Amino acid sequence: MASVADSDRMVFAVAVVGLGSLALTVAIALQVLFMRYRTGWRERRRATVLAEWRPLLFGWIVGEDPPLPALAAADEEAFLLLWNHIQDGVLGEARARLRQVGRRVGAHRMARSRLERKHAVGRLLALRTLGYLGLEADYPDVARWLDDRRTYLCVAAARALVQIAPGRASGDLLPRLARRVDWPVALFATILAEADPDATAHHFREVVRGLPREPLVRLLPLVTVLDGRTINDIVGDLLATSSDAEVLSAALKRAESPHLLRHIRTACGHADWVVRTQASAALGRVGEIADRELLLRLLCDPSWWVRYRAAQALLSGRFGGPAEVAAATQALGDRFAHDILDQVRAETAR
Amino acid sequence: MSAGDLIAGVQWFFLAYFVGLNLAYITLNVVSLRAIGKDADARASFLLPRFFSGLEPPISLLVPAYNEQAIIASSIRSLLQLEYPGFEVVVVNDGSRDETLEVLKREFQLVPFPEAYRVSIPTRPVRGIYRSLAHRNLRVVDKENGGKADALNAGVNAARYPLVCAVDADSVLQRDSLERVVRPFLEDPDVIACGGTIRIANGCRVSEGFMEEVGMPRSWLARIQIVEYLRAFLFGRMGWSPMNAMLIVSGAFGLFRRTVVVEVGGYRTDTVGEDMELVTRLHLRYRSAGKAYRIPFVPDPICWTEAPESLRVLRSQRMRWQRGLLESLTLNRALLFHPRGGAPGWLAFPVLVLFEAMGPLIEVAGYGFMIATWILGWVSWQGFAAFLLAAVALGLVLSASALLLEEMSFRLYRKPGHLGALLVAMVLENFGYRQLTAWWRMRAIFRWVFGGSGQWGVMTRSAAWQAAAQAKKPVPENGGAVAAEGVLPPPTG
Repeated sequence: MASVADSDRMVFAVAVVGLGSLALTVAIALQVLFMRYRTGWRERRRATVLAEWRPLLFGWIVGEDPPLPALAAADEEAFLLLWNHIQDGVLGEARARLRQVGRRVGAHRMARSRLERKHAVGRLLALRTLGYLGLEADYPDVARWLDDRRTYLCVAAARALVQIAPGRASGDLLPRLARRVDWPVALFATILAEADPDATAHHFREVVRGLPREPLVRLLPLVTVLDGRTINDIVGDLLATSSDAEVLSAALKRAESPHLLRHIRTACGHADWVVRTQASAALGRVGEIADRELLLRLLCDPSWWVRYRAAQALLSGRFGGPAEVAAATQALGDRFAHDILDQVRAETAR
Repeated sequence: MSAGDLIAGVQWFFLAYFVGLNLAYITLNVVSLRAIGKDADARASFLLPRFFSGLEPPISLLVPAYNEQAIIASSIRSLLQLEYPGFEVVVVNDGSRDETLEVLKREFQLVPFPEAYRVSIPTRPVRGIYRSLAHRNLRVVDKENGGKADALNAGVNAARYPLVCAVDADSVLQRDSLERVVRPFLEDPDVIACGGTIRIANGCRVSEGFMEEVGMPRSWLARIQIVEYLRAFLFGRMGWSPMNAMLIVSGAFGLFRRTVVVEVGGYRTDTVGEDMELVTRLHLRYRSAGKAYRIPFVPDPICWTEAPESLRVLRSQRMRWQRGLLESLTLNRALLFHPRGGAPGWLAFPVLVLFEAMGPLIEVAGYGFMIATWILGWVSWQGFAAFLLAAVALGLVLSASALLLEEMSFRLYRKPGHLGALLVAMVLENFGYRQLTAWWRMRAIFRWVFGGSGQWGVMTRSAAWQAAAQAKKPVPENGGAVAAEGVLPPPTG
């Protein structure tokens, strides 16, 4: 029986699978060990560069003029990492002096050559370095990376462009930001905050004009980096012309001026609860005492969030003292209105 | 057909199954290698200076707590120190019978809070809601006991923010965990949930609830589990993620859109694998509705959990996981070969059924069959040895490739001794550990199929964790009093 069940073919097949797998395991384990050795060597080398260059760069920052040693090609990446890292933490004169060191050591050449290599860290370092070096001539080559599919390279390029040309960059960034859903708006808000405000306001107006709903809603939070007048104009336009609930609620979130009150009051009666929620919150920011009745009505809204925002607005102090608001709420005879007011009162109590 | 032919047929079946299983995982491994390469690029983005604009979506951290008096205060304190612009912590005391609520009241100056509580998902009755006078972003929901899933649902109800993050009370996080796990939500509006890599905290140095230094546990049982977790996360999940077919987001740390969780009815309370069940259900609902969605995986180590160091606790954990897996799959069986099922329905689900749900049965049967036929003299010792060699070597390939992925990506275990220990653990795993866990999982299958009430193990925790955290000492190897309850499961390999 054994001769049939335990056929040579079977044993051979199993042994081949086993030995093959064993050989593969050994190969992988050796690869792991080799990688570990290589990484260890690199890390030791990087530590040497840091130990040598850190005091030199800090010396330059504080106005000393220590001689700069030659930099081996293998140490360039470690140097660029350190140089960029220190740049992140300094401003003004110190940044300018570091820029000077960078130029002397050849950071520009290092960055330009890394920009063309197929290595993520190298490219990223290159873009960051070119940004800190701030040479207008590099603008077109850096701008090219805005169209890369990798978000992080776009972010690095965007920041570099703002550093190179604060007045020009927003014109290149905003139209792409509208198209690229992978570009995190929150991050770009920080980047654009460093750009020229007038130019950003101008380009923002241009971009949002005629933008379809989805990108418009996505881009609207960016108004936080604009000046108040521009925000009011843009938000006012949207509140007056749009009937889309998402656009309206996004615009209401940014409504910070009493000039928009007429639109905000209208939005309080919108059929969509999301719009009513944002309208209540906006009234809490810019409403007048005359809006108390409107907010008391919203306090009885079927949606929890509308009631919550209305209660927060009512207790913001703009619509009378807490006792006055409590009495008005009591008069409504609505248990839900009463409960939500209690909650918000407890939240704001110290 | 003769008995010999039958035996040969059975042998070929087992061989084909083992080869099929390992081929499936090697394929996942290859996908992971590509994905890790891309992610290494993305991780370079952390070279960019970190800044918050305040426009990041705020997050509600939900912490279900049942009899957690020993660790709850330090856990919440560490959560409150996370680096993220807008978040709140909602602790749900799930009818604890110990002093959990009292500890919270005392440590965080809790006062009753008259919250107009919304019931978006039905739960066991809520007895009261408290807010902290010391931390404005901390609230505690006190409710009747209903289990972890019920507690999470109460947390979802109380959450104020658009993203909710389920966190186990005993999870150890990194200060930037939220920043890392929220990244996919910022880059893709279709993301509805996101999971991250869970690592083993045993042997590491934890300070004030945060991971300070990665270490290697002294216990070989824990070391073997490190290899297992590397396999489970670095290619188990990383491999499925590019296909949008990841069916598990660990309950120890997972981020979800609140509206999505409410829309599908929240966590199911009738399963022990509520985390996997929810994610599988999300796939099913979104696939069958034809809606665009994505559930990606962030390979960054963002959460650390303690692994059992005693066989008793390990058995209990693995049996729970197996039951959770079976329940999740059966409850969402409509996803299997669903016409719109895509990669989750046509690839991930069948692989889980074939190699994870049924795997232990076939693995144990395979070992049993080979041993029996050898003892009975139906198989030569050469045949038996070849079979054993193949079973062990195929397992070794998978473990070695997980170590390779780790070396290519995070290299958390930096000391040469750590790497050596993992290489040894990778070999040891195949001599006893793997067979034992397969046996336990098979028992869990039988218990689940035959509906025995069963004892699924009561997980208890000691105060040792907190003490270690406070003393800034390595996490003690406590002989198994602590269990990683919520991490379901590290299947794969």
